[in-house]
Amino acid sequence: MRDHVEQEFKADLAQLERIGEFIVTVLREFGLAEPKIFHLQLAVDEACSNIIKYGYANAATAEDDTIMICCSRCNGTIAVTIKDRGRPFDPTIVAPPDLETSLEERKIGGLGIYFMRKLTDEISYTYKDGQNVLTMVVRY
Amino acid sequence: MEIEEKDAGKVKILALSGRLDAYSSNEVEKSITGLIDEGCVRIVVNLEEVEYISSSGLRVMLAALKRLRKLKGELSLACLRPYVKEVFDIAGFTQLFAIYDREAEAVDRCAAAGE
Repeated sequence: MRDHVEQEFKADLAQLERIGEFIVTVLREFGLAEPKIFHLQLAVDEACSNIIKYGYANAATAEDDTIMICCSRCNGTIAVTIKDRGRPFDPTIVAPPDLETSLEERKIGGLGIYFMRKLTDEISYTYKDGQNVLTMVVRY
Repeated sequence: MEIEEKDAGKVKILALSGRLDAYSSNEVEKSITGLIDEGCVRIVVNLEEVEYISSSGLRVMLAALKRLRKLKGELSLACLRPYVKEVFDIAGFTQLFAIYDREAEAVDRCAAAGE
């Protein structure tokens, strides 16, 4: 059984479904329980949506824009690392949304990063060699 | 994403099917905006065939709810699958929306909202 699987995807919102299928397939192979698979799939989807919408916002280079997703399993933890060459952006320092406010006050946005934090056990970010490197970890 | 539109008296029902993610949410937003622009202020969104939703989908629902409440209208949700319901819960959205198990109940309550 494999402990490390990686795949590159075109940075296109139309690819989100394929990215989701890839995550689910790999995490099932890793033996992660279904609710956690769903949580990590959502966290990865949110991260990739942000990269495609904001990180790679330059249409001129859109054809070559890619996202690399690496899944690895080691000692009861599963790590998913997402790498892209878009604009540097650290989602780990974004302030969380206020979930207690009324409908009128409720901001539209900021939820994706909140999901990434809430649904994983650990999240870390570095910018290295011109790449955003985001790693999300779940323990099982 | 497939979007089916149905009439139920003064309520419009949008039955969605597929993934409601950052790719498909624009399409859903256009449908809802189109209905509101035509003067419809009571909308039920049936999510029975939606197997997946991300924050982009939630954003569309929240924007529609805010706009409709300002117009003294209502947006009700029906038939959420467990994972979709969980995403609403985590976002703290369950307390903002009127959510029903059955479409017929959502339609009745949406038609009567604010009256």
